[in-house]
Amino acid sequence: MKNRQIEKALQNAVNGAPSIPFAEIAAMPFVRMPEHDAITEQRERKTKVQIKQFVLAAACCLLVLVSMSGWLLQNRMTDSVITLDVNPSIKISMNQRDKVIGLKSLNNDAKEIVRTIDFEGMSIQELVQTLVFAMVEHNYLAPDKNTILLTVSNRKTGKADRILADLDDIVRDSLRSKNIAPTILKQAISKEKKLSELADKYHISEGRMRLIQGIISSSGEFTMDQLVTMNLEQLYRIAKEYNIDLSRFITIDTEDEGKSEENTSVNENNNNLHNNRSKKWDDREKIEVPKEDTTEKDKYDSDKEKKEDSKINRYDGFENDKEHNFYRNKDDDQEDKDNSKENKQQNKNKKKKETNKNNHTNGKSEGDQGDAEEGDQDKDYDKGSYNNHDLEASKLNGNILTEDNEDGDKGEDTEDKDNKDDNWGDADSRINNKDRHRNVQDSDEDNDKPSSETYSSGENTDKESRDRENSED
Amino acid sequence: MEFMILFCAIVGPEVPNLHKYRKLNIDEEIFRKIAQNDMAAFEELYHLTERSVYSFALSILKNHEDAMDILQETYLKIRGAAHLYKPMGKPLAWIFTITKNLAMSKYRMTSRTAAISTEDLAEDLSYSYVNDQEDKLVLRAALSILDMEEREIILLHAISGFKHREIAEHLGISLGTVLSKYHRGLNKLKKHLKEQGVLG
Repeated sequence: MKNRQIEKALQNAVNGAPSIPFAEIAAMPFVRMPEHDAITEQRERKTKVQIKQFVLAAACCLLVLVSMSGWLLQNRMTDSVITLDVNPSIKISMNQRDKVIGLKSLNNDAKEIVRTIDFEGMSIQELVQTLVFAMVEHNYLAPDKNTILLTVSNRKTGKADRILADLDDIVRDSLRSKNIAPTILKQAISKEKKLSELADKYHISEGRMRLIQGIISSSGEFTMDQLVTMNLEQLYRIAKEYNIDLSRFITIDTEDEGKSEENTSVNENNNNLHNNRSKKWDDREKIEVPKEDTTEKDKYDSDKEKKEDSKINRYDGFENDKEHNFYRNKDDDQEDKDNSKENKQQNKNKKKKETNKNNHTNGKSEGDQGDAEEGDQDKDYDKGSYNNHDLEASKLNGNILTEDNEDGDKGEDTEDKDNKDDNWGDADSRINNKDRHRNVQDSDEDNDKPSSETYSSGENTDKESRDRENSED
Repeated sequence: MEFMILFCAIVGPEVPNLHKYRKLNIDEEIFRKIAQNDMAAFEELYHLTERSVYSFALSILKNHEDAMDILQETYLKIRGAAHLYKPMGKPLAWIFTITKNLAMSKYRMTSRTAAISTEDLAEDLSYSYVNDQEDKLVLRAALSILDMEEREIILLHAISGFKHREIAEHLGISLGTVLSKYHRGLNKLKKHLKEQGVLG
């Protein structure tokens, strides 16, 4: 029996039951009710209640969804992406609250570093510091391998810049603590789908891809396949060799001011140097002054020491500063002239020819030397040498160059030649840095000595001139 | 020949469909007329709804006499409260509400005063007015083994021809409940009838 048959049987049975005739119902007495009782009360349709309940439930769900999505957006969604490139390429993801939510290795070198780090609970600053230290431990960062590319990607450029500046300080301080003078290439980029797709395709970071694209567009001599296999050090070297102005799309921040100046502003922005002096001065003061101060203080008298230190610091701060050197040489020339005047007064009664000769030899030769120094310096800028410190130090010794300083200059020239052969030699530059410090110390030591030597040499020249006069007489 | 058969099928006499129910389209205006003592309107309402009200009362009380009492009381209540009726779009729902309230009241009163003996029940369930034996067995099975809501839904669907959605609206329960109880009740009934040897 089917459902319909059952229903039909029920229909037949009920319809067969006797019913009350309408006349009987109509004849029955009834009470006209003044109001509804419990039996006749009309109820609100439940559907309305159900709709209300449904709407309420839907609103609650919506509220939960909105709050969940807000929570997800703030905590689980990636807001900023930071990539650190040395040779290991590491990608760090941050949420809107600047909390680290992801750490990923982008190449095999990075895997061994990332594997050892548990970023849970770490702030971005701590994580970056840990990564930098790990790279130093694994010898990816060393005094001779000091280039690091720091890229921050965020939709808001202001936020990206802020994070970049913060991390730049962290990286710099971390590497300084390991006695590494870093060259930090940094860039803040907005999220680009094409760039990230291309970076994923070649298994490199977006930051490195951006750098590669910049090099390709600037030089036009390389292909993507050639450059993607190179590490950051090699890319940077290529950019230097082909005189690619990286500053157009990347900020280069070097510990050695000479490097950055060479890249960006020597040829173009001499005026800016003047404006940047105070900044450089501050940086220099922070970086180099304490070491030299401590050595100097032990050696010399306090008054003298202060004067000398102030000189050193000032000139250190303006090393490679072409414009300053220009003024500096002018001052030197002026002092030379003054000295020559004194000599003239002392030798008033002597022969004019002799004094003129002396003046000529002292002043002009020194002036020539000064010019020569300027010339050397210009050459150094052009060649990409960062070792003008000796020149500055030699100037500190006074107007008269000692033989040591001249040797120092010669040494510089040879180093410049080396640099010419290998424009980007970090090892060389590191060695040069060391030499430079030595030279500074030497020059400082000389600085005191020559002050007496200067007079003695001056006296010697006077004596010689007198002897000559006497012999002539 | 085939054309002849097709022609006869189209033009031939219409076969009466036993399962075609009268659509209960009740205008709410009818209650205003009843309130004004319009007997024609009252009679119209009675003839339209009498079987549905009876079957609904029977599904609750499982007794013909009690169902007849409730039927009578329901129409007296409608007549007495027609002027109080507020049009809400579902006149049948109001009628079924009155029927259910009266039947439940009766059911509670009966169960409190005296327990119905099995003999009385057996006598009552004899349904002598039902001529067909099979129909009688089906009705007895439905009233004995199904629970109240299953009886209400199956009888309203079978006798009044209400759709499940309409039953849900009239009884104020969800469509899902109506559907599940309808199918569960029918399956229970089929199983019982099969065990009784009614179904082949």
